[in-house]
Amino acid sequence: MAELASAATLSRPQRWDSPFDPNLTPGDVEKLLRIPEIAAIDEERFPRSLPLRGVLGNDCRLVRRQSGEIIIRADDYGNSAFLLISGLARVVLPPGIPIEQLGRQETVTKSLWESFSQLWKNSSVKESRDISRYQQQAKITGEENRVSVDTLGTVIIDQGEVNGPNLKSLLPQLHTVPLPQGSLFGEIAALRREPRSATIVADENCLLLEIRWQGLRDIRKYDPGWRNIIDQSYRKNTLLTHLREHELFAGISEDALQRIADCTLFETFGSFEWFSDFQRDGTDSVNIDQEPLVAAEGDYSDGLLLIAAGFGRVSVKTGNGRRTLTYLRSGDYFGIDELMANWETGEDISLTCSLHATGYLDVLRVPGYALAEISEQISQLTPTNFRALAAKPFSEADDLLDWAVSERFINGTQAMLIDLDKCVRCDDCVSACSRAHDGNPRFLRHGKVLGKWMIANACMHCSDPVCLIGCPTGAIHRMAEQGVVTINDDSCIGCGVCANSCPYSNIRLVEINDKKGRAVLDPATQLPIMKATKCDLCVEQPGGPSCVRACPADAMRRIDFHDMDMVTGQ
Amino acid sequence: MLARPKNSTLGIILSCAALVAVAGLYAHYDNLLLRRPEIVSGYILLITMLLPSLFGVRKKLSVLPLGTMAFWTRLHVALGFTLLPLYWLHAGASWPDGVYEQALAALFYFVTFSGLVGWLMQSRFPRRLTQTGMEIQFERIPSSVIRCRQQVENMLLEYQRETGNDTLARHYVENLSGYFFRPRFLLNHLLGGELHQFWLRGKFRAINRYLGNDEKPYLEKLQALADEKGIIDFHYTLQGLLKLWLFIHIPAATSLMVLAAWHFAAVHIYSI
Repeated sequence: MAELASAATLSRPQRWDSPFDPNLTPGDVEKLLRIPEIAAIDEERFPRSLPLRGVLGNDCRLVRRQSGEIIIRADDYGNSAFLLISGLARVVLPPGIPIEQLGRQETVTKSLWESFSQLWKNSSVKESRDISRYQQQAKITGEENRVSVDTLGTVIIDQGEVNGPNLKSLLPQLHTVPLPQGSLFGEIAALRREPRSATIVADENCLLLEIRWQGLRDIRKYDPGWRNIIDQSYRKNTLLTHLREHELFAGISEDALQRIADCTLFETFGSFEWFSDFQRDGTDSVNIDQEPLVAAEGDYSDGLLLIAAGFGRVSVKTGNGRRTLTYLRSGDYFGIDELMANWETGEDISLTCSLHATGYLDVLRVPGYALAEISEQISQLTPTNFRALAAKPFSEADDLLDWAVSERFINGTQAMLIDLDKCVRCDDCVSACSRAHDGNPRFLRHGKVLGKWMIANACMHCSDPVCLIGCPTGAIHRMAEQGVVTINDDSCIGCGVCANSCPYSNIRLVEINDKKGRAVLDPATQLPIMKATKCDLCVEQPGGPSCVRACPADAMRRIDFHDMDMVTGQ
Repeated sequence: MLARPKNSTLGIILSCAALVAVAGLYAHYDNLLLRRPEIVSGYILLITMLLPSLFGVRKKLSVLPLGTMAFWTRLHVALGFTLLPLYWLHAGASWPDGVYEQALAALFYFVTFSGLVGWLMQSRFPRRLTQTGMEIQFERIPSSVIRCRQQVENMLLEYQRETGNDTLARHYVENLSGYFFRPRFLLNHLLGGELHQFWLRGKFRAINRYLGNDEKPYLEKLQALADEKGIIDFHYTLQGLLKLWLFIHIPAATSLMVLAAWHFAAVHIYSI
């Protein structure tokens, strides 16, 4: 009891504690319900525990963009979709806006002095937090907002945001397509955890309803009308965007592209929630036979398979098993070798390799006849030569690749690979990580091992970050510029959804203390307040990941398995 | 096949070789002019001794972009080797007469030798540890030993319950409990010998003839756990040395720096 008496207290954070716009009041939500697209939603379909009004109040905000301002930027990672309430926006088509015109924000990194001063400023208390920061944030919700109603009868909140340079003068020179009032966009990036596929600029002054993905997910789940709109839009936009942006179709006219899109099939294999099965299967890696078959070796090659999202494993039958040759991810393609051979010889040549979905896989199947019509115009029709990989002698690199695919390490863009033949087990990497994070290490020098390779339990900053799914407050997110998956400590409620979702056990929940070292407890339950923590790639530090730099034996690398030369250090 | 040295390593080695050559030539030139070459060579030696000690400072400043620790390690090792010819250039290769100089020389050779041993251990041990096929953190070794012992004892309780015999359990208590209780065969593990395997085979052979067919699976389980304990001991030995070595090298190097500083001051006060 004495311990409890000396402990600091903090009300346990809840689902509605970190609204997207803290200034949005219940009265504003009523006004939001007058927007035609929102008014069409049947409130009765929502459960009592998750009412539409709660979703709107917590997961939406209104934003205004002046003519020429950027609404979303290509390649940004975004967790929200936009509904265009009034005004006109334009989607910028390739080649797009020059990067220097995009107004990208610079990363806020510590100065050398700030970084150096961590030596004595780091807290001696483990997982210490300034809890007044959380309390201050909670107070914000009670403040007056800046809501008004415009001539269309819709609600406006002036966010006063600066969103990069004004492109009004540049807009006429760009290749764009208009987005009319009532358009929903950005939902693909929001729901599929992908980078934005295009830049969208306000052509006129625009009023937009920004819905973060948790809200979009819930609205889609309970309202069939929105579900239909989102799904149709998703298919249409994914298909055209992927075709338009694919290197193969760089020089193709819009008409030809539309003809291809008309006959292209969109197919999904595996499960979008693949990580649930992966975790349930325990520590054993996934066998290739358990993966959904997309295209089988020996089958007739009816077209080109473009990978739209997810991962696919290319393999050939070898002896009584299958040999993994490579894996494919968004932008890669399969089946081109056989198609080209068919065109050259006029014979039907069957597929020489198989393609399996690793986790989930979105594929665009472009029919061979459609491709043959434009084969002359296709700029970079280069063979993939997967079969040549099968001719290579068996090596340790095969084993490593197969392991990485089976263990889903291919999902990582910054997997922590340790060469155990070099590692002197000094733990300087852990100490360096600790120094960079106020005395708290954010990874474990421990993990799955294959031969001399270890993938340590450090966040891999996955290309499909499943940890983002289910976060009720959006605390875990991708940083727009770097693509680093990070956790906003202020809005994390310690529910553990992200830690449970991570298939690699790379997120840890910690009990926090205040600056004096007292445990922070929930007054209602007297249980400790938890926060999720993980590697943030030392994004605030001036020199990047401290762990890699601290390794005295050059044993550690942050790697992407797509670059096997980097993996094996050749 | 030897790995191709990194460009930075080659650069460091060439720089160190150049430093020794320049120091040697300068000392030779000073000697010809009947000056005191040990003054210049002493300064070079002192500065070259200070540089490796920056390694420890760099380690603390891991958040700053001051080059990788791998580079600093290579520099530290190369400078360590460079110090030997520089020392001989300064003090001569013969053993000094004075007590203070003898202490300085002894510490210098000790630090150099401990550095060489550490470098060799860091080059060789990681591979040997990896080849065990098991990875274990040094701090977790005590709990792993306890877990291993508990598994053995639980298994033997089950053995007694299932078979109604106590032969294997008695054998464990009389001959093997010590093996599972604390790290064993440390020197042999260090030298890469197979003594613990030989010892274990002898213990298991001795009891095998008294066991029935229903008891033999338990003996196999015991053998597997004994092998696991052997690997834990191996990790304890090698990882322990990798850590212990620093507790010898660093204090010795610090003492050397203190003695060298006093030597520097004494020379400037009384000799120059």
